[in-house]
Amino acid sequence: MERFDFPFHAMACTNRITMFAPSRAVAVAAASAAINEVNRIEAKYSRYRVDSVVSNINCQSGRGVPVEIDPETALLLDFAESCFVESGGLFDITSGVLRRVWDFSASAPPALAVIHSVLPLIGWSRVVRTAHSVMLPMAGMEIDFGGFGKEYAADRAAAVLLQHDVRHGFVDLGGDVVVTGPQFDQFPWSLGIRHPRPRPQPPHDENQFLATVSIASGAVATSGDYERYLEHNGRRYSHILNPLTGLSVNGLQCVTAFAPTCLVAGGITTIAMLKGEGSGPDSANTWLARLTAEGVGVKVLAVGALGVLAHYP
Amino acid sequence: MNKQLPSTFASLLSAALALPIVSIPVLVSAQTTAAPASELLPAGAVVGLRSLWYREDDDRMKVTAPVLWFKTPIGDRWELAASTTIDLVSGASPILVANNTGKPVQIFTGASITDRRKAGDASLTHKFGALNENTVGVSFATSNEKDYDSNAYGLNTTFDFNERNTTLALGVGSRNDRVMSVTDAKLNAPRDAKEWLVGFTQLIDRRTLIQSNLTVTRLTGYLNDPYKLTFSLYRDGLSPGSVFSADLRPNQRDIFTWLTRGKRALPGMGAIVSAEYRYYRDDWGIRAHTFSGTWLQNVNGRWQVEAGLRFYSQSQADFYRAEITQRPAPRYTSSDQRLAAFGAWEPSLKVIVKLSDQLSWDLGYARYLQRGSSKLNGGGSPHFEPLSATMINSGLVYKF
Repeated sequence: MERFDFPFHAMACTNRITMFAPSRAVAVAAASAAINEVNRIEAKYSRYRVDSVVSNINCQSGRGVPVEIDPETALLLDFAESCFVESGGLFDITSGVLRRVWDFSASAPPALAVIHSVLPLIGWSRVVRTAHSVMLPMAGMEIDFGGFGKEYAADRAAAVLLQHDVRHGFVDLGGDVVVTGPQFDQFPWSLGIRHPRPRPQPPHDENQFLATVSIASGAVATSGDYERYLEHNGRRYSHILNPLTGLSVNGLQCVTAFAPTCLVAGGITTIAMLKGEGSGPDSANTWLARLTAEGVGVKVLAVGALGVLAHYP
Repeated sequence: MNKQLPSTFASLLSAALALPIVSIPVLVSAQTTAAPASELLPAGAVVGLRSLWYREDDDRMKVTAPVLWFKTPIGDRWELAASTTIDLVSGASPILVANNTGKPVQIFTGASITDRRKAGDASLTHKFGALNENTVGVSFATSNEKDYDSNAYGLNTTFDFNERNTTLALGVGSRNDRVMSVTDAKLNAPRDAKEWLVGFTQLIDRRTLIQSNLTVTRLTGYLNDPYKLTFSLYRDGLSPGSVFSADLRPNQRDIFTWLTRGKRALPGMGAIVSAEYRYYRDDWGIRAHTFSGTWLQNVNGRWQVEAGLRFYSQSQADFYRAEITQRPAPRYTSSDQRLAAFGAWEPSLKVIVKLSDQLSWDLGYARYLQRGSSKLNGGGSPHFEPLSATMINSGLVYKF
């Protein structure tokens, strides 16, 4: 068994597949099948492609005609619905329209009136669905799979690797990682979790990492407020937007979750970021504590607004 | 509140698993490296409970020693560790070595000893330097039993240099003991020790490490065994025909030890091997060599097995004798077998199982076989009585 690395670019990220395989030919066959799967999902659900399933649904919004969808898309919408329900409406795949008014390259946040103008276009509960179709009731409504498309692609790539009997490897899609099994010698893989506020001039490389994780199997997803944000009058406005108010959520600096699938890990991190820090029953802290207390093998690392790291459970 | 509803996790997972993806169990342990305010949480604290059972064959001596210990970081730069133990000793100890049956044999007292030793220790370590790479620590240990009290103090420091690939360790220690006797109420004598240590550890590469330590110890004071006696019949026909001698040893003992060990990870085999050699000499005439090796095998992410073998060999102290034949009886004499020339083998096997990310449990078994004939290059003390013992060791370790 030998170790093989396949770096590749997809979904606007630098990605990597690493595995132990008996030969280069076996490794290439497994990696190319997995990369093809990632490319397929990107093409199917990218909102930047006019021929994607998502663009097709969005461009028919407000026409009053159900758009037919295939089973895979229907199941992804079911997953989005679960996230919507479990987050009390915070995880909403119709909230992407807020991006039209929030420009994170601008020097100031949008005016409240501008934000309010798009709020009527948001609301997953108003989307009309059957098992084979979906319909966006108002013109201008949009859905996007940005909240879980990459996680789904990571899960699918891992499933393809497992079909090729890759039991010692992982797929990393821009930080969304699924590990099919430990290194060939059974040592776990070492994974660095990015620090949400890296020190400007690190005396040591390790300071760039919040944590170093030894992972033998399972999926990891991370959400942070550092990916896109704007600063105005000393306040930081992160790209985490509350679909009910249209405002930027401030609170947690980042959340990393470990779960049996990347979709679930990503759902947890996104919902926690949207809930934000606090001690009330609706805060991420309470929610994460309850979620991980169930003893289901989910683990979460969260960094609060003041930089305090918390482990759940 | 909504107990009848499926949990959040169950809902998300069942929705996700409706898709053609695979659920992979999470096997992870996170080590936070630069948590901005991790000093608020004692992550990194470790608590353990361990017990050792030692049993000599024929039930001569049994020892049970449960130990409770913990170690916790305090902020970024301090670490506190402490442990406490109670040793329960029962059985018979050889007190008299007599040759009246023709050859010297150990005579065990009829009364069994039962003793309880209570002990505790604590250490505080401060890390310093730009990367917290150096340490300075103080330690204290105390123990007492009905005929022995001990208090020890230590000061040690380590420095990392050469890009943290080399560590230099320096230490000094002092121990102040009192020796008493249940059969001699007047005995209350000091036994002191001073110790100096210099050592270095070198990382050869990512997977290989060597370590070497030199230790010099000076023991002073009452170094005799207050219970040990030697009774010998002279065979030269002169008078008096026998001698009854108490254990008497010099009141100073200088000891030098040099320990070298190497460790290497064999990731291709999921194993870690280690080898160790220790040289010992003291000015009582004892020269000793210890060779030991272990093989730690990762069976899977949860199970580890470690097999080990140790060999020990020593020459005898100048004044060791199982029987007295000189006239007059020599000034210094001891029939304590621990000062004899002998060798010992100790095979061991240990199983370590990770019960969860936090909790691990281990169980070790070792057999100790001490023989005069096992001495390196032969020459074991005559009339050495073999000693065989079984050791079982089990512990629980919980990491926060």
